[in-house]
Amino acid sequence: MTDLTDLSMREAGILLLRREASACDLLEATLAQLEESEPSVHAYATVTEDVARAAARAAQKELDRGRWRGPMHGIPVGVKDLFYTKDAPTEAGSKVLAGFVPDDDADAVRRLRTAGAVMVGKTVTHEFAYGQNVPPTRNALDNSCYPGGSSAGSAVAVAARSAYGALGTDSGGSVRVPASLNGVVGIKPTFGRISRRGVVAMSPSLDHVGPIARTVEDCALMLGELAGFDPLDSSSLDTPVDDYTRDIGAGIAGMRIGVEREFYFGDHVVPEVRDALVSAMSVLQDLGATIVEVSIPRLGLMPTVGLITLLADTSDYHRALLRDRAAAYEPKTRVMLEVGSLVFARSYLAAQRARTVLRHAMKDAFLSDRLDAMVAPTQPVMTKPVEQLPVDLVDASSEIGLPDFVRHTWPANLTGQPALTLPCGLAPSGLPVGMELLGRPLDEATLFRIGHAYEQETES
Amino acid sequence: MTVSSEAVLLLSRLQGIEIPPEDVEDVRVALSAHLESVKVLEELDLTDVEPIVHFDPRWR
Repeated sequence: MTDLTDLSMREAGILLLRREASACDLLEATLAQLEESEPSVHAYATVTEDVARAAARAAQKELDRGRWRGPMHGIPVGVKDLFYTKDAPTEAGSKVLAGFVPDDDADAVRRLRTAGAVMVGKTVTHEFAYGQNVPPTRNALDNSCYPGGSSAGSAVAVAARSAYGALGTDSGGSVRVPASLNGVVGIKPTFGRISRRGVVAMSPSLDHVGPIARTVEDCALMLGELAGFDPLDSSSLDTPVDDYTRDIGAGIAGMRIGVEREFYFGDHVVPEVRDALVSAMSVLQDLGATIVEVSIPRLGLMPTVGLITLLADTSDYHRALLRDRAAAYEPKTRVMLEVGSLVFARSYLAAQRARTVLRHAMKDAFLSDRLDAMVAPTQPVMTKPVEQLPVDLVDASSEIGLPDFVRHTWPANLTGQPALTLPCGLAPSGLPVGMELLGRPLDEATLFRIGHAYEQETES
Repeated sequence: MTVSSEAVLLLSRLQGIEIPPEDVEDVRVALSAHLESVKVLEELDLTDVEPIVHFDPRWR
């Protein structure tokens, strides 16, 4: 019999509907895989076995009665330890929140549970998602390597088969970077598409919730369950939610996909990544899309604008905690919060002005070149062994550090447009390269369609 | 731009936060790097642009 954990979420769901496996079978297979993989990858901060078994039994009972909640019914998932969960601690990877159990679930968690998903546990995040400390999580494909962050545990759990899908958050690339480095799929949807209520915050204008899954279709299915208006989240969009899988197999013939080379394909892009993207664009052309050369002035300012915004906003959120519990922070996180507290108002306002200009420039490129999407490397560099990586967020002098990993992911956080990452081949080292597709606001369906077409064409 | 330790301590006092002695040097180095990176924005002519963080999902 096929190992249940090798199936996609869609395939596992079909087995449940056909009564060829039960929700309890899926969970037990997942827990067994988790027990095997955790010593080497450390994806989970907390495993909630008892809660998960109860949820799986309840999901199966409903299936036995003929009630099917949708494609996530009975599917084991991981939840980043930044989301409030009423039946498991929410510690955000920090001693500052040690033992904190919220009264309610985050809205995204509530939606997953309502969809019938089974939460396996809370996945590891960098402390408060800042990316400054070194968590125990390791890359699922090479256990010596950096897994990306801050949704490290979520991406690694999906890649290591100890969850079919997982929830992440993305303020500068924290869904897309780890998804890419672990060879799985992740989307940062349009700003406001998924509620952020009940998520430990970084920046009110940069924070997004996003799903991570093994296939583009699974990612689309998850987004379908997570998206929707939340009147208690002031950034939530009150617009209808697409059926993200309805046209996912319709192909991409005639689509116009932009490529901007100055920012996304400069000298900072290593040859392995460049080669993989060149091949991927060739596949997209073979599938009938037109690759359109575009120019977007000053795109190179995005990382600076993003960092100033994130520094100041995150420090504002932590102001009281930093005053009362400073010693409980990891030293590097604390230093970043202290630096963010000293950002000048003049710098912050300059960043917001530049952000406005950059957002218009991105929109103008999409409109004037009639683009359906843009394509870029998710990150310009390959992952490295953990001990070789300096991870200071503001240390741009390092040969390869955190700024390189998030360089290409900042723009979509600043513009609010959706961005999907999916694997586009392996480097000679055997490690994966990620392709990022950027779209028009609320047009996630087109990104899934392009990604799915590519995935189907290149599936081995 | 290089910031001194004294400047870091003065700024932190004005901001109402206490920076422990073991963090001062790291903050000084990071703040100096940050201020250097900000220069590129301050060289832009953005006088007619409002510093509003507003997301409009309608691109047309």
